[in-house]
Amino acid sequence: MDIQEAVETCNNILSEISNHIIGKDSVLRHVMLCLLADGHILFEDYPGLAKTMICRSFASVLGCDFNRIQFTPDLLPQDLTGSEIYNQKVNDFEFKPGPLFADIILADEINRATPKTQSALLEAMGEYQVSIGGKTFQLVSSEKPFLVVATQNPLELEGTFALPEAQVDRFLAKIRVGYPSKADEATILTNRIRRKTKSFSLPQIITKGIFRKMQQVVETVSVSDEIKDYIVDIVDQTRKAPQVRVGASPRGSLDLMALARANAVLSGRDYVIPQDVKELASLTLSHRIILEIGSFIAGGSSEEVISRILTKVKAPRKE
Amino acid sequence: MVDKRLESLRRKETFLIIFLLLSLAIFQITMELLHGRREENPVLQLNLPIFELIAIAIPLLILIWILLKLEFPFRIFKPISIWLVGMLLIFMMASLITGNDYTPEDFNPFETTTTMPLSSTIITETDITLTDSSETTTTTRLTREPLLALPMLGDIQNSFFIVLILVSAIIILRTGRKKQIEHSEPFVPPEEDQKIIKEFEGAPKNIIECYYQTSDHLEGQGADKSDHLTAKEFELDVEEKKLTTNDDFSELTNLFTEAKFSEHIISENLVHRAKVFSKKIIFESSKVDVDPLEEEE
Repeated sequence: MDIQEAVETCNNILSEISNHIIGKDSVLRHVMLCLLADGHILFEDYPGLAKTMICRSFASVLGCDFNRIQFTPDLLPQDLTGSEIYNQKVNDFEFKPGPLFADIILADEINRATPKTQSALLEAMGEYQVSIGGKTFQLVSSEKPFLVVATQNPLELEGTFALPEAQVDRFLAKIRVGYPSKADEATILTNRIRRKTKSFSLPQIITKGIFRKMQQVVETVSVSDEIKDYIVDIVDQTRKAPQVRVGASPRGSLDLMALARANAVLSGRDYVIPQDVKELASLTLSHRIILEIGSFIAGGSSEEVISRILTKVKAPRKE
Repeated sequence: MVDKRLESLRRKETFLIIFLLLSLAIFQITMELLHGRREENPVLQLNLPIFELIAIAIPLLILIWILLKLEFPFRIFKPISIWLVGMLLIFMMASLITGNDYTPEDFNPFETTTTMPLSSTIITETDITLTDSSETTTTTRLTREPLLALPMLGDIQNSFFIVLILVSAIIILRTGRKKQIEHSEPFVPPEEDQKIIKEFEGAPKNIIECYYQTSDHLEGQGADKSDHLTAKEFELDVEEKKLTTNDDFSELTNLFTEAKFSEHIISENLVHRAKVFSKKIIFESSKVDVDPLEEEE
């Protein structure tokens, strides 16, 4: 598969989904980028903004197995990974895979589970494998993707457990969905009346094998030294900014580069330009930095801090 | 091309001569005003320092205005103009502080014979009798020669006249040049004018140079100069400010990003295209400039 084919396929996918998810083109594009870059997504927004629907739609058009896990305080790690169950017929323990063994996982309200359960995802998200009873099971193959899409509600904090930094760092991007415009909301209502059912299904456009090949195309995108320096400068600034207590990790640099490469593919290029990096820096770095308490109390957001940092770092345009 | 270069050289020389004459004229006027024939000047007869200041400030402002408005000589003669203005200011201050009691005869080299050169640092006391309308008094004054006295511009009226001629000449020259630009063809192919684009061995470097020169030019026209802007953001800024009229800069930006950030082999054809775009943008954005002299008028 070449870049041109990948672009066409992505455009078809986005066009199909945007017929049902109204007014969220930029969000859909960001999700597509994360999927291409083979990275996990953290959705953070209020309930009822089509977060689950977006995940389900992508899984459907990509021909991927989809599992939705509702995270609750009593959810156990085995409920995610699966466990060995005694089979009386064969007189032995048998491994019964958990919901993590799907291609796309929706971890709904991830911050409601206990840290122990949340941590069960760490190995799966970081190393794409699960270890149970001394055995290791791979979650990906050349034909099988593995992506975690988690959601968390920023409104309700009671009975929740903030995600550990190690886990937050494993998400490629944090995406905010946002409310639709009035016109878009009216279109949503019109579409619902026309559809006559609550649910809808999307046709499969590609197989997950093709999707894996699309992800491989991203690996062919070149990144010049100047772009690498630009990424490093931005990430370095997150560690030096006075408003920031903890800056982004080197994984942040890697993820920013991965997302920039995916953006290059979606734009039909086989090379990254500074605009790719700058556009996606906030998406990739904002959830990886911890603000100083003063900045936090003053109402500063990490997105604002990243925007400010971007205006301080020299872009590779001039000599 | 050789003709054009010669023409360009001739124009440079013309500007050089005009500038030097203008400088000398202004200098002479200032000297005349400070140390010249005070009794012949109706304004200075009032003997008020404010008029003296105004009389000095006006030619100085004219000089600065001309220097600032002329695109070409300003860059080259910036050090000269700084020197000239600085020198005149220092001289004016010194004269105002020390020369309040001077009379024109003390400084006019053509009418006074009792002067001593300042360079010798000898100051003599000379008795001169001044004749007023009703009484005669004897006063003691310091005398010295002016720092510079030009025989050919000894008269203040002549100096003003020369300045007037020079300013008119500059305006005529600039108007002629503007008309020439208006009547010339809308686009000059890059082969015909090699002075803007530098040549590099590698094709990508040539494209990058084209972009740099164009973006420098657009920055001069009012585009955002911030270092944090990416090429795409700069392009959007140029588009927003309507500094270019078509998509040429967008094309040039694409060529630049490809040359700078990709591993593609850049063909000579792309270099040629970049040069064409660059020339076209610079030419067109220069054409829409309002002539500063005309604007002032």
